[in-house]
Amino acid sequence: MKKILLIVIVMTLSAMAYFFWQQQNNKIIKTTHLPPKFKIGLVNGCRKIPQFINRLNMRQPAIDSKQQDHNGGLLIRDMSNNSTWQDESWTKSGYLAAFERDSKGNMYVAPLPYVSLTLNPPQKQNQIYKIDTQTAKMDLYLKMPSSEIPNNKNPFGTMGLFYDCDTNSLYVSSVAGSLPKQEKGVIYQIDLNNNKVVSQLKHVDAIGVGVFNTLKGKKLYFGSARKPHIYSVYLDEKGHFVGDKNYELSISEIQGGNTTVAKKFVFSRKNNKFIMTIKETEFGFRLLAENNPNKKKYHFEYSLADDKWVFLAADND
Amino acid sequence: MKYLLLLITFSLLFSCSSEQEKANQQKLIEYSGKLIANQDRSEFSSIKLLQQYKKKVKDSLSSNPPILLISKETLPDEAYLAQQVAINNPEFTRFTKHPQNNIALRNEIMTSRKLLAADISTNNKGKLKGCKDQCYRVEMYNFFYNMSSVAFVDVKNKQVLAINTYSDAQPDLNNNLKNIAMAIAKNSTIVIKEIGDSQINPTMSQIKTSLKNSRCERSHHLCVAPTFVIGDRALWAIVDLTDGDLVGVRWTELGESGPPIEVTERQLENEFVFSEFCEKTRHFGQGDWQFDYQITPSDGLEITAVRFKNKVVMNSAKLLDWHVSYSTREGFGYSDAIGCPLFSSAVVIAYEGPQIKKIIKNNQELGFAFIQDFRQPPWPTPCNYRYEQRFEFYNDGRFRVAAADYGRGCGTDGTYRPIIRMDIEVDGKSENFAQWDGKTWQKWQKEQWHLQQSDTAYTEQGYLFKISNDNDSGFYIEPNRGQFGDGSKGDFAFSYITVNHANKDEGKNDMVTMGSCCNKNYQQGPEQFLTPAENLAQQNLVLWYVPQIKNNGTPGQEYCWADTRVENGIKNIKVWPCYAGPMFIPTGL
Repeated sequence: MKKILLIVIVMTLSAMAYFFWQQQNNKIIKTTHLPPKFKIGLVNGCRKIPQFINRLNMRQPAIDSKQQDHNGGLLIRDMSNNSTWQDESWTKSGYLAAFERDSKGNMYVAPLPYVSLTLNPPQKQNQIYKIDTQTAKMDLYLKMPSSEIPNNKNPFGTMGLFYDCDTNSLYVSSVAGSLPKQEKGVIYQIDLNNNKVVSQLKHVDAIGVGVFNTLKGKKLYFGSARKPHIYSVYLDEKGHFVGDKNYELSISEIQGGNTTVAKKFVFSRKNNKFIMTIKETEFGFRLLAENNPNKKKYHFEYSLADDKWVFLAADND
Repeated sequence: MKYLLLLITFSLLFSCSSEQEKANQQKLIEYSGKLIANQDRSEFSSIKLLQQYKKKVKDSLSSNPPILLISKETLPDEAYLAQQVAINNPEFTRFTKHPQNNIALRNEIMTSRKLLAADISTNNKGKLKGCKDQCYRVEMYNFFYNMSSVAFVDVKNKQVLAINTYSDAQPDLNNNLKNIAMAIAKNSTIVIKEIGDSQINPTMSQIKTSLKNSRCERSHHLCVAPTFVIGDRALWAIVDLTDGDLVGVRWTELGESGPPIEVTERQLENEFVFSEFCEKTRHFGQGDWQFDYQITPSDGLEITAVRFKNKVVMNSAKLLDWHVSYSTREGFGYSDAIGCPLFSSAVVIAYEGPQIKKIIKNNQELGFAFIQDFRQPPWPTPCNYRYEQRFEFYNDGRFRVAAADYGRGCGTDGTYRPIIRMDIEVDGKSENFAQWDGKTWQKWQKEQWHLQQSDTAYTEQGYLFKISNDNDSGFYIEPNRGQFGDGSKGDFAFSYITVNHANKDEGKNDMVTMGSCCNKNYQQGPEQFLTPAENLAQQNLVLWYVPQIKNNGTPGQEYCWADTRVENGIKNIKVWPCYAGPMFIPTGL
């Protein structure tokens, strides 16, 4: 009797699993029916330079997020004479992981503990800040909707940022609350029209994130925080996550690659070709302050023929 | 049906996973060949192939250019000619000697073979335009720089057409090194223990063996992983061919699809240290000494319940932070937390588990030292740090809580201040703290601090403080003034005494950050527990000790310093550690 019951349970479960699997497939298939205005390629070309930078009258202004030789936070550096500028409100973030701009020139900043937790207390890490394009003032923008609070065993929260002009969305990765054997990270989609989280990809520990419109649809690429692996997930026409993550490549497998993780994705267009650049970092859910002279970035070219990123070269970051 | 089977398989796997995990966790501790003690390097010295190879390497270092070649007998004539053309090209041999002192570096040709279509890239296709059958690819590995150089050779015209160099990149191995890697793996006691001698030798017919890529990201050595496949599992043995040694082993499940599985030095070391020393408290006992220990998220290695002859003498000792300041840059420096390599708030991390060393003086074994190493992975490159915690336990009941810096930091104007917390146990309820004023012991009445200076008075024996119970039994405290024979120049320490509150955490639990990096005065962090100053009478006490150590990078006077040298053609890191920390001498116990 018990055996029969077990078989019935197993068969019911398998039928349910098959049903859900079909549902997921249907969703993915839908993404291949591309929206009318869908354009293969870059999605962040609309990003503007913040208005306040224009008023600084620098000859060659650059946004410096390297966190080297100063007490943390974003800097605006004039590359012509190496002078720097920082609004006093920018110290709020402490040291930072990533920054991003939107179509109005507002900036978004994800904090990151660097040498110590003094300027980056754990309870203030799972949030992002906004720098107003006009006033340059930094304010808390959004606390991630999570019950997980960073602590001394995992002091990290928000990690990577990427803006998609098509949907006016900001994607934010967070590893708050993740444990050695449990991925509790989330990638959030924030709709900048209403400043709300509208979609989440859960149980994913990611650092770098980036969106690109591929031949088969809009995809968000992300670097695992635990392995040198790059994954992707389809996004629908509203930028919401669709289906499960797909393995794309590993930076340990390419020539000159390493067992590091992807901390940043940069998509660009050169000579009519789409290039994806991945910047690496060594990450083990502990502070990252070491000065590594061997850090690399890896360049890939998008192959339209087979919808794949083909490795080109690696060079020093 | 396929999915039904899949589901059943997953259910079974899930039910077994915890058992499997337990078994695998058990195996982790058995990496001990190198990962714990890093001592058993003689294990492979009897391998004939390795002996012959080492001799060839030695000979190659005195040849010009210093390159170990693939022998003529093992290469077709044209491939051998390609090798000769390449090594006579000054551009190809540019990195074979050290640029500053011209010392020969260890180099070895890995491949000399005909050009394949895949070798032609956008970078070199212009130069290789006319290549047909006459072009060869010659690959050389430089063990000093962990770098590969590739020459494209036209053997017909005896000409090098193009040269590419790849930093931090390892080429495919030549046959000799492949054989050596397999021999090291097969002769390793750890590997034999895992898969059984009978399965490895003599024919290896029962198991499938392959040579997988691996990496030694930390040592920057040439590493490869002979892999033994048994059933649905594979044992990876990471072999370090720069040292001729085994790094460690790891079992993995075999998967048919999905992301690639890779086992590397960094992964192995991090996971080993984390699971064995961060996630669990261990016990250690030797002679009359017993204690527990654990690596903390950010307070270094903490030893607890320290007993001598079954009597508790110290409840806890740990190192909360290293403050590093630079005199020529006001306010510039770091507060470095030391701790676990994964899931921690440490910036300088434990590389291995603790090591134990004998303390020998005048051919007499006086006790042992319990040592924990912490490093930033790129150390000793500039602005990266290495620290050590050292606990010395003597047969006569003395003990010392010490720490050392190994450089190299961001300059030669650095001062290091480790924040050490010690809960000495002489009486659970009432402890007294006194200072020698030159004539007598003066009891401290309230929480306070003291700075050890050049005019500080010590007893004849060199004692400065005494912590004791009401029967005057306890410990004398002897600060380091360079008398301990470890090359130290003295502590110049701030000492603080605070009340140990049972209901208030003043540093007992892991502290995320302690004080500012760059204060030069007593404000190093512990002073926050002195305000307002409490009475010490009838209280259990905590001693905080903050030595101040000035570094020196001047040749001949190095202190808290490290430098990379050439030895046998590879990198050898020379260190000048600076030790600090007081000795505790029992009295009346």
